[in-house]
Amino acid sequence: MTGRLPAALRGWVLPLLLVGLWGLATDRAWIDSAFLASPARVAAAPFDPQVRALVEQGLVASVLRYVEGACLGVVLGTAFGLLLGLSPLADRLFGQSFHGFRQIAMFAWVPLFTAWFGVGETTKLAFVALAAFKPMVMAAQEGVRAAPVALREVGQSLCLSRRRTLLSIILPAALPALVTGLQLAFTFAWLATIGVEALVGFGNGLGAVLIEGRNNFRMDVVLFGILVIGGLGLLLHLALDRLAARVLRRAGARA
Amino acid sequence: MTHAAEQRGFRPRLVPSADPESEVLVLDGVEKEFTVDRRPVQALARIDLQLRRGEFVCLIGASGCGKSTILRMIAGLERPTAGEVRVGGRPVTGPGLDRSLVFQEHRLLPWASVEQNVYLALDAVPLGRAEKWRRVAEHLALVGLTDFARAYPAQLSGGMAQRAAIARGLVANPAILLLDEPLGALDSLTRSYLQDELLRIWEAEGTTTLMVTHDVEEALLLADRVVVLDPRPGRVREIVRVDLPRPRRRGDPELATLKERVLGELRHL
Repeated sequence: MTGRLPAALRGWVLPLLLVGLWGLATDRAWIDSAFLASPARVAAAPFDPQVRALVEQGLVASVLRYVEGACLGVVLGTAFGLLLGLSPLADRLFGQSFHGFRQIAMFAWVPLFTAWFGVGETTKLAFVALAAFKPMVMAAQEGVRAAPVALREVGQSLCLSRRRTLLSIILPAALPALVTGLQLAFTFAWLATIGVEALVGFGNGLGAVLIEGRNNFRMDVVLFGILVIGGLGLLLHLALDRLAARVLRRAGARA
Repeated sequence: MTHAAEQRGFRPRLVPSADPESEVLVLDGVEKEFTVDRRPVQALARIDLQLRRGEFVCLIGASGCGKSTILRMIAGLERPTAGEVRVGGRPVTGPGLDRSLVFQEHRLLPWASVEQNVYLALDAVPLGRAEKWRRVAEHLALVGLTDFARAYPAQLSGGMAQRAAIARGLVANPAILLLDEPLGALDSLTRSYLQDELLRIWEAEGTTTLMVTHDVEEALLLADRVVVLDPRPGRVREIVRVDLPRPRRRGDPELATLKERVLGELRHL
């Protein structure tokens, strides 16, 4: 049946079926309305000025926190990863520790961070930054290793300085890995932003909005919040994909 | 043949000796051992060789006779296990701008244009930007790539990429140009065309050239002397002097006689 649908519509089949099922479940009261709001009520949520203000403020807070934390993590992660890749000494000193460290599940850090930094902004930023940091370190380190020996030898025989070798040979060779790392870092940082807002109380942000909605039995707010978070995540994913494709296409036209 | 270069004033700065007949490159009892599976394998056994300034010498031999290793040691990318390589009287301890190596694969940076690739070879040379770009343009013209200065390596044919690599090798005016089978991967038509080009460039620049090849005819067409190597471990079997005026014709009977001789040396393995 779907074989006759235009390709662009096929992706909508499953979501629409689920929304239908959801409507049916609330309409027939299969599930207590305290736990699941009807699609109609969720659709109406953004028109309630109170809910709208709550979600808007949360959205702004989340996005700011996300951008700040992700950029911090990306910058530090890139620097640390390049250091590990470029300096055998740094790799010997920190490499093993980092790879052990990155095995620790993200949310295991929350109790420690809250103990150190309290339940305020510092903990949240540190958490988001950490989420972006780990994939970026891996990518930068891998990227440096991607520079072929053949081209490194060219740099050697041309007596290039360390700086020139880095700029002209190592970094361009690392570009594809860095782009992939950037995609992962920004994706994980978004997940971490919502997660830490929901876990660490007394704050703003979309994660906190979800918790607040739940505590007030406003499932319409919770579900609307989830849709906003998912929608933003999807937009982010598409934007990162386009950026990556663009950068790699420009590099690829030359490679 | 070195007049053009002499007048431009590049050469005397790079070659300390004033004597034009001096040996600019000396391999003095050079040996090389590699470790394969934790066992030492002798790649080269006592190579003695001298190149005079402006000379064109070809190294020829079966694969595995360490031809490339010789070039890599002169370029400073490998250290001899014993013996010494001297350039202009000074022992080689690492890469230097007085030598340049053109690899078998062109090894151009894929993310840089042809002119940027050539410009990179001047990065460590103390010259102004304008002078550097002038030299880049001059050497792109020398190899006939002026119209492709802005092209990327992936857009070039194999022959063009190799010419760009040769321009990169020459742009810093090295005292010694090392060519590691630069035409090995090309089709025969491009190859014979580039052999003529190489000769024209060598005559224009007067750079002392040491070229590795496995093509006897190529060696005899280009070189003043052809060094025949024996494999495992690599050592000099014979040095054949080619006293024929250039340009040499591929069908020249004297060349054919020399070819028979070199092929004979190579087969007596």
